[in-house]
Amino acid sequence: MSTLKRRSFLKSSLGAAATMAALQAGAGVSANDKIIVGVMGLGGRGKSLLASLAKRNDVHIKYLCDCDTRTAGAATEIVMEGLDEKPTFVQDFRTILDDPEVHALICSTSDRWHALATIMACQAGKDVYVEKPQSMSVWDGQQMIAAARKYERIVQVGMQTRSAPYVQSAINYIESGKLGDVMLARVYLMQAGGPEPTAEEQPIPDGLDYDLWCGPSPMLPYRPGRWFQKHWDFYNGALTGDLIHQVDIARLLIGKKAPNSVFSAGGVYRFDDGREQPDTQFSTFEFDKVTMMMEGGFWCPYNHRIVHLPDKSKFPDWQFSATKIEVLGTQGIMYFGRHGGGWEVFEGDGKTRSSKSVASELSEYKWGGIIDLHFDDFFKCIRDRSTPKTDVADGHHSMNLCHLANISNRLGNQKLHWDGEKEEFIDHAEANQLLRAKYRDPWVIPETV
Amino acid sequence: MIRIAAALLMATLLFSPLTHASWLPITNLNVWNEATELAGPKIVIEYDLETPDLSPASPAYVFLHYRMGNEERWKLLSAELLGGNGAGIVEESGHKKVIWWGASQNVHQDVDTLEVQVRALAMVAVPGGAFKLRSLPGQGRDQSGRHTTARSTLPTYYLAKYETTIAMYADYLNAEGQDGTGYHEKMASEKRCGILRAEDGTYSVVPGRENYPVSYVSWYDAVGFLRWCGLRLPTEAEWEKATCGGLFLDGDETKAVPNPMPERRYPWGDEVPNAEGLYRCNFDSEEDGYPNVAPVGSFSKFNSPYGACDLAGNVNEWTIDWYTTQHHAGLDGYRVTRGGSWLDVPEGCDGVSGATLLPYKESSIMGFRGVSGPPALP
Repeated sequence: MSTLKRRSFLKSSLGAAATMAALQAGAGVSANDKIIVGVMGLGGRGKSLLASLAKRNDVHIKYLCDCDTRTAGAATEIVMEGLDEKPTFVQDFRTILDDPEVHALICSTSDRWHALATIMACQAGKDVYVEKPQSMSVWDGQQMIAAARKYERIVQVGMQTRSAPYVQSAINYIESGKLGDVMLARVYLMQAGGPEPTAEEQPIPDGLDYDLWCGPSPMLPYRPGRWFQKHWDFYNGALTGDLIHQVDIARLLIGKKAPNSVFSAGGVYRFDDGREQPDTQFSTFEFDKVTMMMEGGFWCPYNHRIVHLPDKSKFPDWQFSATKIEVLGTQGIMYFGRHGGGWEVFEGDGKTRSSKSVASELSEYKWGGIIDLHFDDFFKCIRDRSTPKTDVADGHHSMNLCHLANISNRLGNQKLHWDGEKEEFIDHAEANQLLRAKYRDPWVIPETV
Repeated sequence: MIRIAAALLMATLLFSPLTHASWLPITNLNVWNEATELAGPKIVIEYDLETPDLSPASPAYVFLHYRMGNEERWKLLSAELLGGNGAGIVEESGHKKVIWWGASQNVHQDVDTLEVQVRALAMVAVPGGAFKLRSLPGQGRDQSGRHTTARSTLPTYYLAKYETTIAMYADYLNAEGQDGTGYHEKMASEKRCGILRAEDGTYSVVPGRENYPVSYVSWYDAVGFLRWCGLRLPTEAEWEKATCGGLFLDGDETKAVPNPMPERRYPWGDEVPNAEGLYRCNFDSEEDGYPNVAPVGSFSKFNSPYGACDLAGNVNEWTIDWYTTQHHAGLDGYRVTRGGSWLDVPEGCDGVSGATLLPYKESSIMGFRGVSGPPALP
């Protein structure tokens, strides 16, 4: 499809979508109907989501979609083995949006497509499950919320830990006051990492619609691999792109929405491979009388992710947990595990000069287990039109912290002050210019959704 | 001289009409002990390898197992311990003789009960030399660091000519899998695989499925089978060179046969598999004649420059290389797979694109083949 045709197709799709959404808004799915979905983005994350979807008997996967047709085989096999059905493979996600039978779009592409695909799906009357990080900028997130609300769509973001059953008990414990007054939360992504190689330019391979693959990002010369993840125009950064999980849980546990300031330290300390984003980033967010610290580094082989631990029947060694969340109160400290691990509270005894575990909830999950729970919530919400556990607005407020930290870093690690109501930096025009990502026509986040 | 009863000729028992796709036919197996007074037992193993078209470019890989006394399990007889002309890479057909200088006192003591099995597998030689690697090295892939996309070199190695067949794998299961190791219940699918497991732990092949590629094998299953053979999985670079060819097809030692297309996209050239109505491999179409997997060698007119079959399509093939991302550095252990499958679009069956899969995944589109060559670097 040529660029010119694609532009006209986009315009007509957006026009048609508004009408369709008006017809479909509020139309739920009966309890006996299967929810019909299309899955957009069939890379590693897409296949992980498919493995969960293919276990469900309440879902019909009608479409698989990727602008790279070479992804079709492995993804199709997952569905055929799980549901004994062969989805239709399409290269352009607008085919899914144009199908009135489809109830929901599952968006598991890389970052650059998340916001626009969500907005277009809402306009087309589809509910959306969009992977994290949901946006490339603060503006993206604002428009995603606007679209979800205008078209009365369910938009669940893929921060699955919110669906872990041990979340609510942790919230209850903190709200009971047993932790004392919470003063500090710390989140971590401190683990092993490696350089990101960049291959030579090559001809665009058969079967790849490279224009569509780049989407809103610049159409740079084609190279295989993950080179694009080193560039701000394609990616939020490997640190904040994953720290969003921990940031989101920490924000949930401390009950805060937006910080008053942000300050980052760090940069490219370890991997001089042409990356624009830091491989080492320590950020501080000041809320009212609570501070959150975000620590990220890809040079810590002594730390391990809980999901990779061989024995999940016991608490992780919190000191060496790569992705833990800590909530520190005046009476105790809570360690909280992402993707399993549960939570554990320690209190100190001044007389014996020792600390001990005083409350806990162990929770063990195998790979993908929490994804299943998150989809349970999403499909329940599609049926009863309730608010999902990681609603697009929750995701937006958490993602803002990552955007703020990255903007501080991009401006030379300046301390910036934030107006959480207006969602803009205070007296800092240069920082405010970074509240919107760059977009490549026609894949532009619209001013009016 | 003590004559020892020849062992079961498993290779012959598994012989089928598509001879090239299963073990190569071995006959007249004889084993005896020529004990020497000073040096101890000298086991002689003789057999005939009756494949007419063996050559240095298209040799056989011969491996032997033995057991003695009351042992239930067969042990691989390392080719490094053997003399003669009939173990490891064998470049000519005919009568073969293997000398095993009794490797241990046990052999000496129990030699009366020694049993030997001999199996042979069709291979292709990939002569050592430079080639153009077009997939992206590094990032967990081929961490030897020896390769760049500009120019890479590999020493000579030998790749199995065909994907590992159901008959071969069932043979392995009967030898090693009595407890179910290496077997997945989906292998019983007559449409996509075809290996049945009986209650007594023995395995049989659904008739007619012998020469189809085995599927539903995890990376660990593939490694288990190949260790049993004394082989290993190919690295991603080895797989790609075997598919597209080196800069010289006879290798850098002679450089007499330039590769006309060292950057070809598919084993046969640059044409997509269904160009001009001609079907060159088994991809996602019934028009290629196969709605699911095809018997190995079904598209032998479109082999790689070295004569390897089905590197494009049919079953996707495990490699020994792993893949990771910054998020999951070294932790998840995704393995790189190559070649596309019967469920891929034609463009997905090329010699350049890779995919990744967790190693425990047992999938109807996954198969493998082995390599004999220098150890793959960690």
